[in-house]
Amino acid sequence: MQMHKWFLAGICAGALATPVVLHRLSLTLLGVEHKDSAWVGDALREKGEIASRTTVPQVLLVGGSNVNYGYSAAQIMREFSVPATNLAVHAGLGRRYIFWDCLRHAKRGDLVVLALEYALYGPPFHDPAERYQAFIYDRAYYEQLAWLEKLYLLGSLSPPEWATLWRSKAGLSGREGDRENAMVLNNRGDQTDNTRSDVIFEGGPWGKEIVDPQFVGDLRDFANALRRRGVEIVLAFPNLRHAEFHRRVTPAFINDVYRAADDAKVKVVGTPEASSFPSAYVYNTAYHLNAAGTQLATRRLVRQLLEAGIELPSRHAR
Amino acid sequence: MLFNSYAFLFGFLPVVLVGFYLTAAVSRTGAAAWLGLASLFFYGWWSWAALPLLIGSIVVNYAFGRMIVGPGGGSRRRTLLTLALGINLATLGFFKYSNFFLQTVNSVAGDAIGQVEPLNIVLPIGISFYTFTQIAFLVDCYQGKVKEARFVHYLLFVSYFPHLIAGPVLHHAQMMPQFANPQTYLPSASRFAAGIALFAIGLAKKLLIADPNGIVADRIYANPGAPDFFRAWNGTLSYAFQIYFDFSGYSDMALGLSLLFGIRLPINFDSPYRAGSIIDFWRRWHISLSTFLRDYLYVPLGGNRRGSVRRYANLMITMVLGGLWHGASWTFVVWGTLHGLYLVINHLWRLLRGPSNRVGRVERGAGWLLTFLAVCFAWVFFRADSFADATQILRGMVGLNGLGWGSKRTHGWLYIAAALALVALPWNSNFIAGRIERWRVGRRAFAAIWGLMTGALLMFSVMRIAGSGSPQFLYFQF
Repeated sequence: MQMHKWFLAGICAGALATPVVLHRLSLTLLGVEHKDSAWVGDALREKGEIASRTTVPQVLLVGGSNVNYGYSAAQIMREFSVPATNLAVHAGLGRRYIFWDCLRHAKRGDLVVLALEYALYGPPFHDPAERYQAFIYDRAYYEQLAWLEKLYLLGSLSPPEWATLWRSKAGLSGREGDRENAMVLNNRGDQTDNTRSDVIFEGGPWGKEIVDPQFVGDLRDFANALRRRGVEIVLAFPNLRHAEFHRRVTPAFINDVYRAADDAKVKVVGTPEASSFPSAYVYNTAYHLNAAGTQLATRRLVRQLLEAGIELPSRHAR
Repeated sequence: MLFNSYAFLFGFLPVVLVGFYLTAAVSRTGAAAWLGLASLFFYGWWSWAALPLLIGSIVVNYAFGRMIVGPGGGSRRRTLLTLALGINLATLGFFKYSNFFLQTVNSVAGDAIGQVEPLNIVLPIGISFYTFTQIAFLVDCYQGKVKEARFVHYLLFVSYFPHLIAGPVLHHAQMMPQFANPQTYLPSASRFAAGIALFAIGLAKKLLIADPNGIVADRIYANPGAPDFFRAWNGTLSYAFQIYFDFSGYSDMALGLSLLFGIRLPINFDSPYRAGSIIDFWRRWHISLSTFLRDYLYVPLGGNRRGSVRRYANLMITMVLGGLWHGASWTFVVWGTLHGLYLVINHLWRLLRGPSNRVGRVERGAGWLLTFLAVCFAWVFFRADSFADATQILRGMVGLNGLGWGSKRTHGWLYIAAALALVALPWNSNFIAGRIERWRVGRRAFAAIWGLMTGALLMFSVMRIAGSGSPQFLYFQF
């Protein structure tokens, strides 16, 4: 009996100590560079610097790679004389990280145009991009999470990921192979290499989309935090190829999106149908537009903003 | 509700466990009833629509069981048994095999009789397991082996949540005496210790080995194309370890959870990938199912009592039906047929070789390798979505699509290596749990350190749940 009691006491101690030990161990990952993560960290840093250098109120394009590829901040500046920065990098960062990153750069008078990939409306997930960002480049994000969220994120680091990152730390692997991932950005943060004709289209095993109850709360908190600092926010729909749009997006889902936006008191511009594109405008995935698609989508977005009566930042300036 | 979900671990389990022992302090029957009702709730969480079928099945089979053991002549009892078995098999057949039958008719008849539309049937989860459990009960009633007859215990025997969805396939003789035993209802530190350790090992097997292997296997099997040698073996080995660690992980969790309630479930796996022959493999893999098939199919068919030819025919029938039990698809039939053939060949080899207790290391190693390769070969049919896919994978495995040196290969060899290392360990989860439960003397610090490691494994696995997206267990589909 004694032995079993000691064993059970050990189990309790081990269970309590594990998160603490992992938390401490995660500090060793700070600054480790790895080819799977460096391009995301670099792009976020570069885009953040562009946003910070822009001292006048601006449009901030926020979302995952569908915004990175699908809207052009440079075109908005060029054609409509509206200062703009494309902050979007990768949907794998998760909506919570995307919101957190946006809040760091949004300033009074800015307009946030949020166009999330549909999967980001669903239950939260922890993609490698988010955890690499949280543990390697942006510890502040991890530190501000609730303790349960910290546990989730710590737990989402798989044993091979720990091994890979420590290998990088020990100098046994580095950023080799990163060049193929590195983003080619213009001076407004837009991805500009969506003109190649030799890319291979990558499909995905995607199912129907859902709006998770937690999304409603996340959007409300995000919108309120922006408003508190004098930043306006509108919700736009992500650009998506026709075929995937019709396969994945149901009227019930769209109704839930409108309800979530209504709950968060966020204006919605455009329609989901208007943001779906034929294959001729699509680049290497269903969510990435090519250069022609980007041009079309950007003009359409600005027109939708104006039609919805949204005041664009340059007009504030006047 | 999955064992590897937060709703189960932090909601259902503690409430049911505390409720069980509090009720047991007042009434043992009440505690059994509490556990039975909790099990029905657990099942209902999966599918409230399927719950009436489970309850109906329990009530009808219990009634038949009582009638069979009741007064009356042999012919009346035989008629009742036949009727009860017919109802069970018809129900299972309707839900599991109707569309398989229609698809087969469609493909055989072509357009000659027009295409028959498939039925809109949702397979009730766990139906194969609870049907087999109750068939065994009915047969034992007929053979006069059933002693315990309280409905509350029968309800718990069939619906008991640790085994309900994916086994082990239980035998009433293993369970009913435990429900009647007062010791079951008293909390025990030794059972708790062993139970938690088994659960931790099972959860870790599932989340740290099976699921990552499954990602690689799914990627390769979803669209095999013409895989080269390395890719084909990458996919097949990943699947071989996924299914083993997934199912044995589930079984460990089931056994561990059950120990927390003072109830011992039968061991379902005994290091099957260490088997030196196919006969040995089937004594170690899904033991409760192979025991069921032996006792309730192979032996009634005549077993080995009617000469060699009938023996081999009975083996083939048993394994083909065992394959079909796993799923309504011809690929499962081929899997079962292959294992039937393996067993026949293994028996013939033993016949030719003669009795020998002295097996050399080389022969033992060759036996192990041959067994493992044969099992992997059969897994291809078990996993592939179609015969065309299976053929492509097999072509790759024998090198007909090239070796693939230098090509960009799918990762996942690390997980295969980890799985192989675990398989090679001399102790398995059953051994470890047994040692923990019987731990009477030793150094306290040693016990605490083992506990510390178990707790760390448990917590790390629990934390992994969020990152893993809680994939289901493979055997739930059967």
